[in-house]
Amino acid sequence: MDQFWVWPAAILGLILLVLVIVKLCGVEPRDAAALMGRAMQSPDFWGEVARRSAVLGLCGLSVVLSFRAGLFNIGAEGQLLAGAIAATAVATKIFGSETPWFVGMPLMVLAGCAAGACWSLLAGVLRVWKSVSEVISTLMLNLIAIWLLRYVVSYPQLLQEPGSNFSQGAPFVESLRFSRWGGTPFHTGVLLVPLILAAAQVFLFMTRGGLALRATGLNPVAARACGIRTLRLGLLTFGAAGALAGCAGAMGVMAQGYLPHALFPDYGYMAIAVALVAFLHPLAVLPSALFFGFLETAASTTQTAGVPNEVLFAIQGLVIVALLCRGVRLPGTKREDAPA
Amino acid sequence: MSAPENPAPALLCEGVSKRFGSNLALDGVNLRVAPGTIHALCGENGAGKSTLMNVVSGLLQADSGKVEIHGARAKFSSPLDAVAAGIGMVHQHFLLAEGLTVIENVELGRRGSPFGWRFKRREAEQALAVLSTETGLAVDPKARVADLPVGLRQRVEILKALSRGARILLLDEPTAVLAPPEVHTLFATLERLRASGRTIILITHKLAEVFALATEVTVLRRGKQVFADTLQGLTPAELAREMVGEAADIPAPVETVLGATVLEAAGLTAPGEHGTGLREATFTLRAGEILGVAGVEGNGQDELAGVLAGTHALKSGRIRFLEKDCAEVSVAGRVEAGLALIPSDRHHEGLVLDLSLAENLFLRGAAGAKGVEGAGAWPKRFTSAKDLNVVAASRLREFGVVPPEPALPAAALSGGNQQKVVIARELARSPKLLLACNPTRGLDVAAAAAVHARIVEAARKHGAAVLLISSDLDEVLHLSDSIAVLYAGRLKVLGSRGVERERVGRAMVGADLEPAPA
Amino acid sequence: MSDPNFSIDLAAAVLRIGTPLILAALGELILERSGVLNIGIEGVMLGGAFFGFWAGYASGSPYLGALAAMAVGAAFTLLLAALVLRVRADQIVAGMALNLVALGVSNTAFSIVKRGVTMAGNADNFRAPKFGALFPNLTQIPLLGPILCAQSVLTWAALFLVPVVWFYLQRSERGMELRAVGENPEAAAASGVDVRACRLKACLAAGLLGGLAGACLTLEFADTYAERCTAGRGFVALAAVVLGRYSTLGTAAACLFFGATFAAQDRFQAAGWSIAPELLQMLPYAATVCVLALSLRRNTGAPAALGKPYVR
Repeated sequence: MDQFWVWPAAILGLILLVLVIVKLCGVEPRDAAALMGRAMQSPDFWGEVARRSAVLGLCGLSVVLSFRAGLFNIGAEGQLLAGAIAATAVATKIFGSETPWFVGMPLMVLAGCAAGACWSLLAGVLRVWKSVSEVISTLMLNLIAIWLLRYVVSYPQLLQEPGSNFSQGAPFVESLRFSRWGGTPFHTGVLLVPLILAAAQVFLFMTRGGLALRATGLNPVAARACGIRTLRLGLLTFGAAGALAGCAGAMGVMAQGYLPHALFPDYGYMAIAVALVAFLHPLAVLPSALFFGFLETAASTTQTAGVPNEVLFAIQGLVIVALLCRGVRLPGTKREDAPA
Repeated sequence: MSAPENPAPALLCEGVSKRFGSNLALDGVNLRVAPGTIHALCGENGAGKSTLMNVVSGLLQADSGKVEIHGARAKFSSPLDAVAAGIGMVHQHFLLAEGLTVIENVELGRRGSPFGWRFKRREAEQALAVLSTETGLAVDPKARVADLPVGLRQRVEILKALSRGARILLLDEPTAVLAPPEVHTLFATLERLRASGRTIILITHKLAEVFALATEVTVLRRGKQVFADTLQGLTPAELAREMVGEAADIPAPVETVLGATVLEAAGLTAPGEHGTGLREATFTLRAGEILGVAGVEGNGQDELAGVLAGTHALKSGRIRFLEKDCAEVSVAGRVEAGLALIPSDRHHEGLVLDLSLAENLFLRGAAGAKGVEGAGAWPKRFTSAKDLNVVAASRLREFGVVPPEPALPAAALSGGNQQKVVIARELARSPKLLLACNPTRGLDVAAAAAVHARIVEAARKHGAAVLLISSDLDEVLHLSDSIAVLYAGRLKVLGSRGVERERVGRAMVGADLEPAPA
Repeated sequence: MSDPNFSIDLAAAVLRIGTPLILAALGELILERSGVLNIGIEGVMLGGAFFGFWAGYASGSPYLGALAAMAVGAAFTLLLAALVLRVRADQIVAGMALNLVALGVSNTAFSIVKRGVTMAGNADNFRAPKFGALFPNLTQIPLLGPILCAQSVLTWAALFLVPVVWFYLQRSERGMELRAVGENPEAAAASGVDVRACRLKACLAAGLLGGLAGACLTLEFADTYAERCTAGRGFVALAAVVLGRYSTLGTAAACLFFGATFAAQDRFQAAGWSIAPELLQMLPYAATVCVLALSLRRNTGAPAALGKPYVR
């Protein structure tokens, strides 16, 4: 798979495939292209890309940390929602319109991080104490979280907007939501994401703890023999991954301004693709998240013209398949050809 | 040399050679096994015994030489060919599917039914019962292998080989994992098998077995055959000498000043997975002292290193490290207290192959252990890879690592250089106790000498207490102030420097033990 | 609640709702016993659901639909087989990729087909023929009638498969080889078993059964396809294998248990218990986590080589 023509051929093939699908949906490729062209000229489009990429970026980083530590934590989906719910609860039940933004908003984010971390630690503790595979437990917790969200927005005693017929939360007061920049979906929270990614890069490659984490994922036996406390590290990683996803959820809902019935569906799973395309490097998560954010927004845009946005999933899956064939290995996979 | 009345040898190897890269594992080895006998194949670690048997059993192809089975030329391209030719091998690490029952393991791969559908369990059990009666090896066919003790699992392996029609049985260190009563039973079994006409080749380093069971012996040393004869008139001492060879030179006595007691171990007992485990090991170590533990692998070395380092559970016994009881202390805690470990398997336990050399050097510092001073400590809170590399580069050069490129992944280095990195890391903090397990395995002469110099320096100049566990007898004799031997899990301290090589060799192969108790 | 009709009704519902779980879990069990973990089972089920629906709609016969579902399921799982057995990719990541691909392909195809149907003005008839009761004339028989005879052929197939899979795994030579491959592939190879071929066939079985399980959702439960109709059932089947400690009977029993939690969703409402419907929807997944958390033994009974790539 190392010949020079493989990658361009694959990309070309993918584009052709998309064109074929678009045609099959009864949409003229030229119309779809024109629609995209127009959309890309509007700042609203790019604001939307930024907004979605921010969520994908934080969740992708969450997956990067987990996978680097050798943990198959695929619960970003649920941790994201847990963070959103917690932030909403804090905003609507605890704070009111008198709360200044510099008190309310950081606390909402913190609540989101804490909720996400707890949601993730449920799986972490089960793994440590009961050897329950974190793959299954995080998958289940994702599904539980989806229904939990629907539950809390359906009852006025909980988080539903009082007096509303819709299953959604009450709108946040002005001081507790991110304001839109120039009317576009872009918001201040987006700017935090590159900072967090940079911090993660520093942590992973320039600190003791980062080296310990990477060593544990690559060779837990050697790490333990060197005195690294792998058990504690594993739990901390579960917590950190959950906190990141929870933060994404909190910021997402703060940008939205209210808690909807369904929030960022399947973003947690897309984050896995984001992490893999970034080859598990925190800084590379930025372009990777932007790429997938762009695809997401493009899919939404062309959806109005009739192209189903599930094409996106197929593309992501095929990208991962291609990467796997290219030999991208997750840390922790044994080296089969170690020299004697 | 065979007269017309003499039957062809059951197994004949002539001039068999096998090379692995730069390592000549077998160098023109000859082996002649008479039919219907028990033949012992002896030698130390690395002598080539297992390699030779792997060639005979079809796992490996020899580079040159010929193999004959009962007079017929044999060329095996896979283990299945060897099985078809009547060769059955019982490996040291059993090839059994633990979740399956005995009868299922024995019958695995044999298609008795069309389409592989119904497993004719009853017929198979009956056939197994017949075989059991004939050989005296009884096992419950319905038992799950996972529930069986090691001795019975070995029996399943033997039955498996026999039921496939093995006329020649190869057993690789069969008593390594057995308790004394099980050893007795195995001896009786092997004798019964021999009496029924089968030929048995016993790979072992334990002289008690050789003299109890075999009639002929072949000794390999460093890939060459050095001795082949019947056992009549041979004394255990003579055989031991053939196995361990002559001493090259006698190490000169060294004046050492020993400090306070660093390590007290009393009655250490730990079960073993692939060997005998550790039984009631007791010894003390003083600062500046090098205690060398000689022995063939599988006699408790891994367990000894493991319980001292904290990676292996201790069943009973006491460990006092620097006056403090440390049986309950974690690995991290012991490292903090001044323990350093050079593990015997540098790929699995020593290095993280995908990390760079610099990162590997600072792994102990990454653990955040307090008291990690000196060159192994993490430089600053935030250290870029470049800074790390600068500090690492000088250390790499200091220890003679080639190439001294700190950014290279550890996997890119040769085995010898990898070991130097491990040593550089462990000696960085002037440890109080150094556990060195097979530190020069796979290293060339120059690299080994460098490693030895470091170990001696750690003891003499920095006052570390060193426990050297090695299957290389020369290394132990050369470096140690006190010499002990691990055999069948028991640690016996033989004396201080200057103990005769032969005496140590005899203890390593159990030649100096009283006859095995009933 | 003491109404006997309620119990009979509940038993029938548990059996019906448990059917796709049993089918998918049996396939997954065979695959996991051979040492391959397939978390893409959710995607396989979804693929079977859609393509079974489409084939059923296009052909007018639910049987053809079921066959198509099985074929598509097998095709998807072969993708996993290629990744895991040939490229030796990590099994979890490969499974996730399979989920995404299957999700994308199925839902995109659905949109395309639906559009075509809508444009032809046939939207109201966009339904697949359903599997009905296998023995409609026997449903009058007390007890057995409603519980068994009113079930469709798929449920009968699932019930039939349980002893068949048990026999295969425990009493047949090939099953023995498969189990050995999952426990110790080196030992199996030394005995002459072709490890890769064995795992490949196991993948095929898992794909066929997973696809059939999906067909159950759209050709029996409902007669239309909805984008998220699997609702995590594939993952629940995964959990059922773990809960059943990797044994055939245990897995089937676990599937019935989870089927009961799905069935409880409607029954609680009918019984007058006022629990929020959303919480009831959580029940199967929460029950999975709780039961796994409370299982007392640390030894999970998993095949020793599960999840590890086999290197010849």
